[in-house]
Amino acid sequence: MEKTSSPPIGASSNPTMLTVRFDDQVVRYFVIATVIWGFVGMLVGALIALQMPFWQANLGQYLTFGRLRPLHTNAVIFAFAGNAIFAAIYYSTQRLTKTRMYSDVMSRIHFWGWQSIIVSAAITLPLGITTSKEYAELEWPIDILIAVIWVIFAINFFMTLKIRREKHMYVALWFYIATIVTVAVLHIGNSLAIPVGLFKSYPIFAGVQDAFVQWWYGHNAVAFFLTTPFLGLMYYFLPKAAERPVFSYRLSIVHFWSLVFLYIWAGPHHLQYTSVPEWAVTLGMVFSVMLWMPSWGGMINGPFTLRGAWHKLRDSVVLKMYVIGITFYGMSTFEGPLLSVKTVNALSHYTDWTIGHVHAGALGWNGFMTFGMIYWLLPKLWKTDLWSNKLANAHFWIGTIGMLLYVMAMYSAGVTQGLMWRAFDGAGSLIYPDFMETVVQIVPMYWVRLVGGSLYLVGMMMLGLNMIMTIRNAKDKPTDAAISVPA
Amino acid sequence: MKPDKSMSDKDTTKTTPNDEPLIAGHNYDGIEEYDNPMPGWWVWLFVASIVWTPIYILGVHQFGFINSYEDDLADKQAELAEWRTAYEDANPSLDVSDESIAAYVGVAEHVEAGSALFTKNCAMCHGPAAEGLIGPNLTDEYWIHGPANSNLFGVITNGVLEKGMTPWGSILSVEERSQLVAFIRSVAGSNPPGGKAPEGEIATITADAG
Repeated sequence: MEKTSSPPIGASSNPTMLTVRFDDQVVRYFVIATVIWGFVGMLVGALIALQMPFWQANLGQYLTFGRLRPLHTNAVIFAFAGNAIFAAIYYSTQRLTKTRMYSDVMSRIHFWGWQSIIVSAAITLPLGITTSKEYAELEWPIDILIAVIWVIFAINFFMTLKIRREKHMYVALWFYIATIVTVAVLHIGNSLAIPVGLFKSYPIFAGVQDAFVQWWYGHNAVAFFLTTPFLGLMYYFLPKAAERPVFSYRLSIVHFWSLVFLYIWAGPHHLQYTSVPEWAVTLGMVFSVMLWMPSWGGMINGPFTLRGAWHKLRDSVVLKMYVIGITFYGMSTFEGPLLSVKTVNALSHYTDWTIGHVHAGALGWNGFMTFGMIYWLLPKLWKTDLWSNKLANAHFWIGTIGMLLYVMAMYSAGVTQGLMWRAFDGAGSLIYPDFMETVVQIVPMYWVRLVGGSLYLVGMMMLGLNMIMTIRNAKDKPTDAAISVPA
Repeated sequence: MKPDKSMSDKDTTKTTPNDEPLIAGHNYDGIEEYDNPMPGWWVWLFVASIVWTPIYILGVHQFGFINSYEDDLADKQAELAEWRTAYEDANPSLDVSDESIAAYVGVAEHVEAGSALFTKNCAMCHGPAAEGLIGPNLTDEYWIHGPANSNLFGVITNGVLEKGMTPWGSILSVEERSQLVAFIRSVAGSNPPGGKAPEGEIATITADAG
């Protein structure tokens, strides 16, 4: 029988075999950067969480809530989650394609370029240099840098696919492709602006059109930066850690295509009850509802892959992290369509419910999938045991408790606000016409949120300590993994 | 074709429910894939959401059997109007007239309450001493919309949208609005520093008649 696409790996003295060494060094870089920026981003998050109930924590104009909030969101999304997905992509793509990355130089430019973007964000945002577009606050010179670095990343990735030694592309790679292509389109589309100075520009779209483009971008940043790459991560790292086949290939195809097709339409649900025409919002809503099952396709393919392997959760902190992460993914992708429904949105819009929703996704799904991946990668990348499994388990519990406190506090604060804002008495008058009354009411919830967020931050520090000690324990300079392939 | 089971032979054969077929040739860095069908409930919920979509769109935007924003707003406004009518019918003492308001004017407790309401809701536009700021001076003898108690009450209740005056009718009660009039009467002629130039027509007012 003729061998075609899937030759066996290694274990051959055949002289026509070739050794392929992966570039694991760039993965190590990205893992370390993930942990450092995760700590920074969450620390800023804890500070702004304190500033809400305790205004005295607003320290001078550079460290007020308004300046630091975008720094927090940019740091956790693009620095923490960003570096995490790059680590996942560089590690798994090389193995799934049986080839080293196309260009080591491009990989290095990607890494250092991305870190310099993050540093620029950390400097400009507290200075108040901002486009005021949520999750796209960075001004035009940084936007151009992002586009250039992303394109270099894309060329490196697609050239790697081109020279791959595996005919079929595994589902994780499809999710990476969707991520890389769509983020480029979204970022460039939403950043189109006319500069009026080095640090100021105005978008080429105006009014409602600008709002539309902004939330087409904003919603799909959630979709293609925080969802698809993490599904790719899940499809590679979960079956690897569980040592189980993926539950359903067919489900992975159908939910991939339906997810990427439907997500891109859902953005207008962020603009309910605004001057955006209602037909557009209706479209955003129905596409969000149709998106429910495609999202849950990933949510079931993950845990179903664990069938027959659930006993492994007892010993594997990695799998425990994944199970919590996927559970939160399932919850927030049910909640998303729910919040897009007009009558629900009438209650939830502009309240802390939204904050609870995004943190269920960010802390639960992005955070825990990242933590699981890093605990699995640390021993492999540095060729030694994890320094402390106990500490990793403690991280799991403190992180879980922390985010439960966080989201519960925000759900109750959000519903309280929403109900108070629209409460009428028997005479047809607003019961709480004074906005301050509704703020004072939820201050206790802000303290609970601070406690929850701080616990989560402590968990992040435990990961940092575990990483540092594991690296210190690594005996020599770690060698990169290699495989044998037919020449 | 024989499935490639290089990953973990004994696990896949022993602990898998039923005997699910692996997809031949799918082995990516040791990851294999089952050829399982999609769960039925998943498929049907997905189909249901797709079928529901045109029904909802047409229901809102074509045939009107589902409420649009405007429908919802009109329904709620009508409901509130009903509440207000019912409340006023049940409380005849709420009938407002120059005389009913005059009963508040000059009564220390009401003037004080009015003063507090003024500081909280009105001072940002009319000035802390009612000397006028964005809104007109309320301490002089000039009135844009009439000098009577009921004129003032009417302006407070319905606002003057074209001039930026907020309607307070659905926010402050009849009593609170009457107390505000009582407060405004109490500062008549107080001539606070920085008073805004007179606007409107002059009318001499007395504390009790209005």
